[in-house]
Amino acid sequence: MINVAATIDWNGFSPVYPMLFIVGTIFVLLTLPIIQGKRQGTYYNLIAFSGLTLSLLSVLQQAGADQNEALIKPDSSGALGSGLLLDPMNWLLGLLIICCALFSVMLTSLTGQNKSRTDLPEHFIFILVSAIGWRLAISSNNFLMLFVGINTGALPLFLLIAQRSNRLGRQAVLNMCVRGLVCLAIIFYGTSLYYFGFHTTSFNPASVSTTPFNVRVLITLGLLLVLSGYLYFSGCFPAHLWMADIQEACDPGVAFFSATAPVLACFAFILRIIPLMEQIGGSFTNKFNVFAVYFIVCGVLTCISANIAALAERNLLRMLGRLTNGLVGGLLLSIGAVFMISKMFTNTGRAAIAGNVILYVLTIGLSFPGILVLVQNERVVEFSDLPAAASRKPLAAFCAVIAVGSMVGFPLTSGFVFKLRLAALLTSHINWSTLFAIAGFAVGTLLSIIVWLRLSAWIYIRGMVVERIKTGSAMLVLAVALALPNAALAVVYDPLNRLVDAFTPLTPANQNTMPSMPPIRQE
Amino acid sequence: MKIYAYSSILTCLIALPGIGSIILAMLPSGRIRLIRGSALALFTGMLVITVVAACLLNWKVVGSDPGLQQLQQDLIWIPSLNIHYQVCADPLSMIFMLAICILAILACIASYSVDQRAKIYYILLALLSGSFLGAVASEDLFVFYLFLTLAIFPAYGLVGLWGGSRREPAAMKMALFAMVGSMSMLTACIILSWASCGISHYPDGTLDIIALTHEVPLRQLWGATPGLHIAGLVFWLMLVGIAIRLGIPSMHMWLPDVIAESSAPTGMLIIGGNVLVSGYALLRILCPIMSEQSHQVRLFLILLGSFGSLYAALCGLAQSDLRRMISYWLICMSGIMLTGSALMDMNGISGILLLILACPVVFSSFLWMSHIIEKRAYHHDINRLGGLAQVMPDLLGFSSFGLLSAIGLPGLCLFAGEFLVLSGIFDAAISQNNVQAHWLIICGIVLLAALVLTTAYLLWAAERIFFGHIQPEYHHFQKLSVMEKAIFLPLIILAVALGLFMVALVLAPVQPILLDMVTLFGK
Repeated sequence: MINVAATIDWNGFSPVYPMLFIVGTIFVLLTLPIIQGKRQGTYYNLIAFSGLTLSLLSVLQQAGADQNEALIKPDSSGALGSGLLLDPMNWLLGLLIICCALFSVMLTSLTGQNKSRTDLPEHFIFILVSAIGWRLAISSNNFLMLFVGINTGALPLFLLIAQRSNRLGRQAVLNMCVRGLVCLAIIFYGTSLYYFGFHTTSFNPASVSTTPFNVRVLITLGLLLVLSGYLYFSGCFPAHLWMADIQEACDPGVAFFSATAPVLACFAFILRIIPLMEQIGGSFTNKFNVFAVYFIVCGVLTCISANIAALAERNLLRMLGRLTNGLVGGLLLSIGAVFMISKMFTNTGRAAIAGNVILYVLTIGLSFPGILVLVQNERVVEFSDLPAAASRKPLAAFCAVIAVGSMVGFPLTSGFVFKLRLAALLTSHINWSTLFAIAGFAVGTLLSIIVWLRLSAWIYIRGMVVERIKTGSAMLVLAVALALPNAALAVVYDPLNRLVDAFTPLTPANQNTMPSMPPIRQE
Repeated sequence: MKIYAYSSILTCLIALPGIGSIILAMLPSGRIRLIRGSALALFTGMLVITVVAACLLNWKVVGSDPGLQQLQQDLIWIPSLNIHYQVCADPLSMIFMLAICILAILACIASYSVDQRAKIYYILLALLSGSFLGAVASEDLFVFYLFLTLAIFPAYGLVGLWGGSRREPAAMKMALFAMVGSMSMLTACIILSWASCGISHYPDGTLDIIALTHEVPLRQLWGATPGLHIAGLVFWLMLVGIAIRLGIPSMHMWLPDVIAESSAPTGMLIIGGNVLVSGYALLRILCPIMSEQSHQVRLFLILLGSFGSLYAALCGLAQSDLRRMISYWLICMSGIMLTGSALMDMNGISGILLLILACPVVFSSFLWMSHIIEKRAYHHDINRLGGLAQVMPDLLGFSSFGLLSAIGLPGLCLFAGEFLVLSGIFDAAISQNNVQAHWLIICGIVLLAALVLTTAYLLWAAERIFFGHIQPEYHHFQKLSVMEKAIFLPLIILAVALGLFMVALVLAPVQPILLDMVTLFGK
C-alpha cells in the first residue's frame, strides 16, 4: 500500500491554498454568530468578497515571485511526483477562476428575488471552497492532486445546487451527482492505468520513449479516460447533458460559476499535459496523433449536439446552457487544431489555446447578465414569455439579443472574436482533419445562429407592442453596461489580443502574436 | 502614388447611416412625420456625400493600378491576421455606390405608408444601406465579408417585422442562407490570409483585394497540399458565398419566399442591394482574384448558369403568384450573370455589369407594381386579376417600362446586357475548335430559350393582369396617387437612361478597368 503522505514531494506543494481555505472558513465561522440574527445577504456578500479578495491578493502576490525558480519545482523522483506546480499559465487561469468567483458572487447579490437562497450563509462559503478546489486542480502536478482538486471544486457545486429545494433543483443535482460520480470513477480508473504504465502519477514521467508498445496503449487509454472524465465537468460530449439542468435549476451566480471554473480547470490540465499527449499519442503512427483525433471528434460532436439541443429548447436558461456547451466544443476544436499542426506544440500553440479559453470566459461573463436580466427580473422562463417581456422592457430584451448574438458569434461581438481566433487556428493548416473540424464548427455555428434568430423572432416579430415600463434594476444596469462592449468587442480586436498576449506569459518574446501560425506549406 | 486627399469621405459615408440611426432612435416614437422627414434627410445626405465623392474622384485614373486607389483610407485593425480597415473607390465601385444610394432613397420614399414602428423601420433601412455601401467601398476582403454579414440582421428584421403572413419563416430562411454564404466567405478569407503569408512584401499575408488581384507573386501562390487543392477550395467557398446572395439557380431557395413575403420598399433595398453587392463581388473579387480557377471550371459555370436560367424560366411560367413569378425572373437573370462572368471576355464582363445595374431597376418596378395591385386587391394572384387596364390605365403605362425592359426591348436597360452575354457565348463558341465549342453553342441556345420563355410568361402575365374581363369588385380601384407615380418615375428614367446611354453612363468610365480584368483573365 502506498503511503501517500510520505511520497508526495511537499517541497513542491504551495501552502497558500489550503491555508487560504482554512483561514477563509474560520473567518466565516467566526463572523457567523455576529450576523446570524440579522440574516441579511449583504453581510454574507461581504464575507465572500473578503475571502475571494484575499485569495486574489495571494495569487497576485505570487506573480511577483521568480516563477522559474521559486515556484516551479523540479519533478520529484518519488512514486507520486510533486504535488503542486505553479507556472505562469496556470497562475493566469487560477486568477481567472478567482475573478469568476467574484463575478458569480456579484451576480447572486444582484438577483433581488432570491433572498431566500442567498441568505443562506453556506452559499458564499461553497463558492469560495469551490474556487479554491478548482484552483488546486489547476496547480496540480500529479493525478492524485488533480483528483483532490476536482473533488474539492465539484462537491461544493453539488451542494450549491442542492440548496434549491424545488423539484428542478433536486433533479439537476441528482443528474449532476450521478454522472459526476461516474466520471470521477473514470478519472480514477484512468489514473490507475497511468500509474501502472509509468509507476508515477506525476504529469512529467521520467521516460516515455522507452516504454513498451503495449504499455503505451494502456497509458493512452488511461489518459483518454482521465480526459473524458474531466471533460464531463466542462460539459463536453457525451456527458454534457447536466449543464442545461444546472442553468435552469440554480442561481445565476452558481450557473455562471459552474459554466466557467470547471472549464478553466479542465483546459489548464489539458494545457499542462500537452507535451505528454504529443509524445504518447504521436508514437503509434506518424500520420496522426490519437489525442488530436479525440479532440476533434469530441469537439465536433459537442458543437453539433449542443447546438441541436439548443434548437429544441424552449426554456431560455436551458438554451443558454446548451449554447455554453457549444462554445466549449469550440475550445476542444482549438486544441485539436493545435495538435494537427506540428509546429504548434510550442508555447505559441498553448498560448493560442489559453487565449481562446480566456475569451470563452469573457464571452460568457459579458453575455450572462444580458439573459439573466430577462429571466430574473422579468420572470421570463419560456420563449413564449418573451413577447410580453419585450414589450414591457425593450432594453432588457435588446440586451438579451446582444448576449445570445455574442454567444453564437455574430460579427463584432465578443463571441465573434472567440470564433474568429478559432477559425484562424483551424484554417492555418488545411488537411482533411481540419476540414472535418471546420465543417463541424460551421454546422454548429449555423445551428446556434438559428437559435439566435428564433430568439430575436420571439422578441421582435411576435411581440413588441410598445407599452414600456420605466423601471430599473441593478441587473439591468449591469446588463446594459456589458452589452455595449459585448456588441462591438471585435472593434478592439488588436488591443484585446495584445492584452491576452500580455496575460499569457508563456509566449516567448519572439513569438508574441497570438495566432501567428506558420504559412501553409508549399509543395 | 497613393491619393490620400479626402481619405475619410468614404468612412463618413459608411458611418452616416449608423450615426443617423442613433439620432433617429432618439426621436419621439409618436411623431411619425418627424421620423419620416429625418430618415429622408439621412438618405438624401448619403446620396449627397456619394455625389461629392464621385465629384472628387478622378474618373480617368485606372483603378486597376495598385498605386492609384482613390479616396483611400487604410487603418490596421487586426495585425495578427493582417486585416485592415481599408476602403477606397474607383469608377466601378463609385457607380455601384451611387446605385445603392438611389435604391435606398427610393425605398425610403416608397415607405411613406409605414406607420407602425416607423422608427425601428427607418433605422433598419439605414443600417442595411450602410452595410451595402461599406461592402462596395471595402478594399479588404475581410471588411467586405463583415459588411455583408452585418447586412443580415437589418434585412432579417425588415422582412420579419414588415412582411406578409408567412414573414417569419421567410426571414429565417433568408438569414440562414445568408449566414451560410457569409461563413463560407469568412473561411475563404482566412485561408487566403494564411496562404499569402510570406509572399512578396506581405510577411503576414494580405487580404487586400487590389493586391490579390494584381500582384503576380500573390496570384501564383496557390500551392497544393497533399490531397487538397487550396486554390480550388477558396474558389468554391467564395463562389458559394456570392452565389447564395445573388440567388444563382441551385442556391436560390430563399429568394422566392423573401420576395413573396417582404413589403415592396424593403424588398427593393434587400434584393436590389444584394444583387448589386454580390454582382460587384462577382466582378471585382471572384473572377479577377480566382481567374485561373474560374477558367478551369468555366464550362461548368456556363452550364450551371444557362440551364439554371432555363429552369428558372420554366418555374416562372408555372407561377400564378405575381411576386413568385418576379422572383423566378430575377433568378433567371442571375443565371445569365453567372454565364456572363464565366465567359471572361469583354462582352461577358460588360454584359453582366449592365445586367447587375439594370436588374434592381426592373425588379423595383415590378415590385412596386405588385405592391400597388396588392394594396387595392389584397392579393397578388395573377389568375384572380384581369382587366386592370380599364380602371388603372396609368398603372399599365408606368409599369410597361419595367415589363418591356424585362422582355429585352432594345433601347431599355436590360437589352444591352442580355445581348452582350448572348453574343459573348456564341463568340466564344466560334473562336474555339474543341469539344467545349459544342457545349457553348448548346448553352447559348438554352440561354436563348430561357429568354424566350421569360418573355412569353411575362407577356402572358401582363395580359392576364391588365387585359380581358374585369372582375366586378375591381371597378372601384383608384388611379395611381402622386406618390405612387413618383416612385415609378425615377425607375422609368433609369431604365431609359441605362438603355440609351449605357456607354456614356456605365461602360465608358469603367472601360479601362474592364480591359484590365480581361487582360488578367488572359494571363
